[in-house]
Amino acid sequence: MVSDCILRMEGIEFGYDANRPVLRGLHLALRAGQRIGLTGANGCGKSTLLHLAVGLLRPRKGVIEAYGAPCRTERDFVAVRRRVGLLFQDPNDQLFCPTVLEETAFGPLNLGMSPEDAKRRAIETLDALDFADRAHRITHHLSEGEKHLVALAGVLAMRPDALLLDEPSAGLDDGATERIIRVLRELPQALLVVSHQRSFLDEVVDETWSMAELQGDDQAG
Amino acid sequence: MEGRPVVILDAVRGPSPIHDIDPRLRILTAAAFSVLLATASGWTAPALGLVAAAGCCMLARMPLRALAPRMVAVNAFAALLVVTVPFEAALAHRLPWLAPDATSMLEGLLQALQVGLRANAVVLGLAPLVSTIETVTLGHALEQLGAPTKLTRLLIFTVRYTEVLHAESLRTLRAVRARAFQPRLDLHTLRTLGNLVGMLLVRAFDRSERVMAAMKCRGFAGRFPQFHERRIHRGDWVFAGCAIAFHAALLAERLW
Repeated sequence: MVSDCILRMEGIEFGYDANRPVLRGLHLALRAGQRIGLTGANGCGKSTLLHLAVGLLRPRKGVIEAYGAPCRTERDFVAVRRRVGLLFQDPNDQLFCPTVLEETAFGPLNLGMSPEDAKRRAIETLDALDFADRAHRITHHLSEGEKHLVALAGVLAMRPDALLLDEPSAGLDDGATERIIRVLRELPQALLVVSHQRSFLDEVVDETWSMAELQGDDQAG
Repeated sequence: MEGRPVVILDAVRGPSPIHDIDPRLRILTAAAFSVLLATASGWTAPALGLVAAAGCCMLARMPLRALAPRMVAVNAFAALLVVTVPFEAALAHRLPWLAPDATSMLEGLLQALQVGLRANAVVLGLAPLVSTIETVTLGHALEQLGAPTKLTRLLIFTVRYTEVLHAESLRTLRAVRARAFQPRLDLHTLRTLGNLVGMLLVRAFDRSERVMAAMKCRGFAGRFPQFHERRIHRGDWVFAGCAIAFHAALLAERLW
């Protein structure tokens, strides 16, 4: 059971200030190829959950396991981030390189690939998203929909085993949303998708949980 | 989602009798107090100032947490003076290869202690008078006292947006870490950090234009309307009376 489990969170408690926990007793498991949707009210800790999963935040209590091994230190999580991709809610948080190509090659370079290989990987990834023709565009000048796609390309270029997506369809028009749906449906990766839009989740994932369900007492991870 | 917010100029919250006093009056008092004490000599004035400042701190219910860092900073500086000034004084009147003479060393020591006492009094006095004023109020009050609007506006916006920009930089840093970035001593790291800072500047500029546009849409025409016009109340008069009497006493002590 443990072997195909990419991420497992057990009894997670977290809060930004001491008296008001955002998450309490949270259980969650993500297995290879599993596609899970997460819903919940604003501020109930959906984004927090994703950030905890890759160690950008640390829980006050509870265990986070990746590939069956417990993760506690920054070092443990650095390894997790090489295999589990996180797409931020606002692509503006993620895009910081001058051009689309550099942005997409950034992750592969961090994985230790040579500049040539990273560039090749970036172009392959952009090609799969029908974006290769715009590889030299300035990221800052892209439309919102394009920024979402490039942010996704930046994560996909690292060829992760699992993708954690934070509101991937927020603020997108119908065309851009459909495009994201098409891309996500074809991905082989395990998905953990946070979204407010039920219709979007129904298209992309196989099962949907609410944050309250994940934190119920009877919920076993 | 933001990490711990960066706090610059966070006001000590009330309520307290000091918080009720007109901010302009508090600023003027703080200015007079600092100038009079900084130029004082002897022991009486600084000692009186220290007592008055401590009284104000108690009235303002200053938490020790807010006071301690300031006092540590000023006393570190004072300690440096106490260590160095006696030697400087001793060597001032004599040739350097002779042994320093004890009387001028003692004089230097006393002088350094006086400076330390004055500095403590001023910092302890500024804390309850000025740091109890919220930044926006401080900006308005300074403007009403005749400070240039460009400077006061800069103060208000700096305080307001430092936090926003800090949060933005934290989010971007997190996004970079999420893509397995680890700082090293190489070109890739330098390029990455350069891009991060560059993008932060570009976004800050963009944001300033958006903020300006939004302010214009809401009728901003170069000056901030005052939200509530303050009425002078009895507490203000009492405080002003005490402040004037105290400073007059300091002046009298000096001239006498």
